[in-house]
Amino acid sequence: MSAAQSLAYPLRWRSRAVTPGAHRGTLSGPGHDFERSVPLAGNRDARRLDLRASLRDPSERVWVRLFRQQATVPVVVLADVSRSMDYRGVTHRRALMASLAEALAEAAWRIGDPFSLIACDEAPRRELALPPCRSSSGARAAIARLRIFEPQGRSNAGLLKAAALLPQRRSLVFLLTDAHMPLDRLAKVLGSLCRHDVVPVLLGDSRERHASARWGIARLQDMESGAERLLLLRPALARAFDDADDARRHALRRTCMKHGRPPLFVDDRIDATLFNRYFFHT
Amino acid sequence: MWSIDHPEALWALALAVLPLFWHGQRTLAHGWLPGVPPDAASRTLALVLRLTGALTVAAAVCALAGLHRQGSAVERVGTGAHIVITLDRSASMSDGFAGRGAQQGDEPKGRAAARLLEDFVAERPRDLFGMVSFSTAPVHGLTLTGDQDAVRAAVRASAAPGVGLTNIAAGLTMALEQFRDKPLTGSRVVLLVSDGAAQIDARAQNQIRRLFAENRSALYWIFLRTAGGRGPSDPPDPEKGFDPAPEYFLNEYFRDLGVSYRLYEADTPDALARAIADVSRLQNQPLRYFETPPREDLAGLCLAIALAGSLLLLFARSLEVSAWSR
Repeated sequence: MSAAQSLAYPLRWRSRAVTPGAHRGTLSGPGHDFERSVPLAGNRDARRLDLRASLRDPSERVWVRLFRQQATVPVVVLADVSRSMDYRGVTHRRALMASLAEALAEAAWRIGDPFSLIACDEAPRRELALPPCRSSSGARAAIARLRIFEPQGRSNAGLLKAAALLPQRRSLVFLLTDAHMPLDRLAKVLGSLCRHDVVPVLLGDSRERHASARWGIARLQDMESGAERLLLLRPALARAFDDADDARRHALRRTCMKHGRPPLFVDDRIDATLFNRYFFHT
Repeated sequence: MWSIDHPEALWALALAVLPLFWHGQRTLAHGWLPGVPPDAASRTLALVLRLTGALTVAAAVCALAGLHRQGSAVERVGTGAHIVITLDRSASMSDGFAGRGAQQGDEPKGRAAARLLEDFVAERPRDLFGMVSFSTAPVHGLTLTGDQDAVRAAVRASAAPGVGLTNIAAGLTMALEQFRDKPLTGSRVVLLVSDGAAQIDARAQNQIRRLFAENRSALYWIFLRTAGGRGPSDPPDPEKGFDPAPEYFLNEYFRDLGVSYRLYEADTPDALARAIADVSRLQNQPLRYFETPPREDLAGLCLAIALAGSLLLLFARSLEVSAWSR
């Protein structure tokens, strides 16, 4: 977990929150984020004297710098807890998701952002929900509930109703899902969350994404719909699997990019370096 | 025609539907099947495995039910004939032929007939021959057999001088009895070689007529005319007073039998040879007939199909992977 604990999510947009925090905000106040210089008139704070502006002023007024206060950003983990999240491949996907949520809660707690959790399968699961909360024990309890939750939902359509449960203010939403849903549903979910900054974190499993090139017969059963398909495993099918996976990832990337951010693919394990680099690039 | 021994076992055919609905394979959980690429070969395999299962069960049930094929009559074309040589062994057969130029010390009729018949037999290796001699009483020589050596020996043996009278009715009856309970796989011929005739009483006439009808046999009569004797084609002359003319009436009776019948009158060994050659030519014509093939038991075939299907399914089973892996 040591790698996961060092997650950071620097943001490029300004939070309108009043509460001081770690992200750039819009309110003036103490901070390092220079806003502008103003003449020192009235009860201004003279500690932030702007020498360059004062000397340049022909009317010899004294200028002081104004800064913006850093603010919090609500962090929301929107977790997909449909049955396909219970897939056990290289890792147990639900355990991976819980670990990632825990790391995010830790990261949010470290910089003082409120953390909330919303879990959905066919509908939002109220028993798993955590309202915005700054306490690490509250977050840990919510994540412990998430860890022991046995997914039963046959789809993740509840994600469509999650927007109403989110904070009104613009938040950072981590959408933790395996993306096992039609692309238009993913587009609708992302569209419904358009007022927030949504990071689609797509949890993949390299065992699920690829097929064996050795000859064999396998009957796959869909964890959600229960449908079955017989597959004749062979090198050609393994190539088809790889091609289909590439095409799927490409389509997912296009869908997510349309809604503001590229997807963050987390395969098999949480790679903090990849996670942090994602926020430097976007 | 398909038929079965135990129709009640066919209820088990309902079991053949089970493999269509129940595959019995272990399933591996997968997150999202719509993401699995479509694969025609896999779909075909799934269908083939299900159908194989159904076919295997159905074949096993059919084997249990005793499926067999009771063939309907099949038209066959045969070339072999069944010939019963019915040879007159009366004392007069030791005399010479009646043709012109006949002299004392010529070959006796019986011996000439035996010689020519032996050649006749030798030329027809695919036929079955029977042998009946008759004089006063019929002598059973050989049942229908394909054994050429035996037939020729029997023909040779008949060349020995005969005794007694000519009792055609008894000889014909015994000759026709040869065909009893034999499959009709070739044309049937009674080859009657005699040098005289006798009156046949009404009862024997009816019996012979019935036997000919039952056995569907043709009749060839080679008449070896005795010197000074009359032939079958000479009608009785009322001018000469009482003339029984048994040859003429026998010929009339044979023509009335309703079977294929020919008469050859041979005065000389050459004429006899021509007559036998004619018979040989006639009987070389192909014979069309209907044959009922024996019951063909299909249980073995069904079991073979079931075994092959089971082995195929077993092979597919052995190919099943226990866990999804890269």
